[in-house]
Amino acid sequence: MLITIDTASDRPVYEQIASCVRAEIAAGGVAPGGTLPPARSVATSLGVNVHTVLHAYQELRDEGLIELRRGKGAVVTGVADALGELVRDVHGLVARARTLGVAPETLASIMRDARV
Amino acid sequence: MNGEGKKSRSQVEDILRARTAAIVVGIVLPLVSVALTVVLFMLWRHELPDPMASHWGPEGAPDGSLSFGLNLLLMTAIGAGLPLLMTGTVLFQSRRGGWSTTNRFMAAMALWSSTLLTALFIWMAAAQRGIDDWRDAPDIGLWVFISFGIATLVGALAYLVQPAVHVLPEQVAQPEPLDLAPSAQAVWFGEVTLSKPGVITLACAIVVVWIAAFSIAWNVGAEDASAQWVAWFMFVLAVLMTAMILVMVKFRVHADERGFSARSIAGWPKTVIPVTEIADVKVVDVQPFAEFGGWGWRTTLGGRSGIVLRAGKGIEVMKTNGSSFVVTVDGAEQAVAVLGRGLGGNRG
Repeated sequence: MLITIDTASDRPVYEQIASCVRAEIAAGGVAPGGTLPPARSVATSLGVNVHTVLHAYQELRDEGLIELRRGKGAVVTGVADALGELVRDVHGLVARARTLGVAPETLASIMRDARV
Repeated sequence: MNGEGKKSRSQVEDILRARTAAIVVGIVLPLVSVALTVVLFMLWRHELPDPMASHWGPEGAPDGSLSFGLNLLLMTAIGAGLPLLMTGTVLFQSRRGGWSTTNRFMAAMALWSSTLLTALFIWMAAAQRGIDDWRDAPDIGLWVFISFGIATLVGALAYLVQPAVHVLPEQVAQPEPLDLAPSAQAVWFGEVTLSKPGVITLACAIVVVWIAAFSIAWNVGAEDASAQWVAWFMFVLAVLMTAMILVMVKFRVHADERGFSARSIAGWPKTVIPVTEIADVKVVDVQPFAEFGGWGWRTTLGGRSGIVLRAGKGIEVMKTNGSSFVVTVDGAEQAVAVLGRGLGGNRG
């Protein structure tokens, strides 16, 4: 699992961390049932506060991608498999949007507000 | 850093010489010694008791027997099978074109084991020529030591007689440098679990050691104090070996721009290599048996050690002191890219 952060960026660090982990899960880097690295290790390694990492993990838990279990840590749920399937569709959508001149942010906003 | 392309013509010839020597030492000679033993057995057939003594107790008297035919079969199967398996695996795993001191060593080990086995069987048979009942077979304890001596001598010669060829296998594609802003930092986490062949091999080793411990304990009388010490020692050894093997099952690997670490989920053993001790880092494709002689925490005669729990891609950390450390793990390319960033312009 590769996690990169840029403290000079506008995006909050916890969001960058969540982004990396989300991408890794979507790419199948961690299978459902597998664990994420302990928040403490990630924090020490990146030189950030452990609560920053926990914030990232909590966001992913709220999205249903992971479960936070006492003793075992952050465990990837079965939603990861579904995400893997959707990722290809997403890439196709983004590529098509680009050819049509629609920005990814516009797409994301519509997705967020979409009611099915 | 990574300029290895096609091998030179002399390198190809060197590898051919080395492989031929390994075949002679690790397959042909063992088969010859097995054939010789078969001939001797057949020549002596009518002078030997049937069944023959095949196992001796701690007191020096024979306590187990097998028919002549089974003895011969056992000797042939192990004496031929083991070297074929060992040397064959080495040759197969080195087919991508590398050769190292470990390959030489494994071929020599193949000859050592078959020499030991055939010598033991020959002494065993020679000692029983002209007797009618296997229970009258003399003590062959001394001959066991002599057989070990002969095998070790032959094994050492087998190593020395092979050419000292050292060629790296075809290089694996190295990752692109990480495309990150200068203010960014990257960290990498990975884990690796012992592969099935490794589990089977180490499980067999555990089973063998415990069987040995129990069979010695079974044969020891309550009054025999010195043999009791041996039995206890065997149990301690069995427990230690089992513990050692159990900590080898899964490792967590970590890389960031400050360095590299690998540690067993049991907490120990662990290796920590700070970036100041790293000269270079690269992705490698590892064949456990050919390059390291097996699975687990390995070390070679060539200064290469590491955690080899499966075949395939891994990280090789070349240290400033000349030795190198290898870990087979998924995501090795990312880890190498991260470490490479930490090394910056100081690589190679």
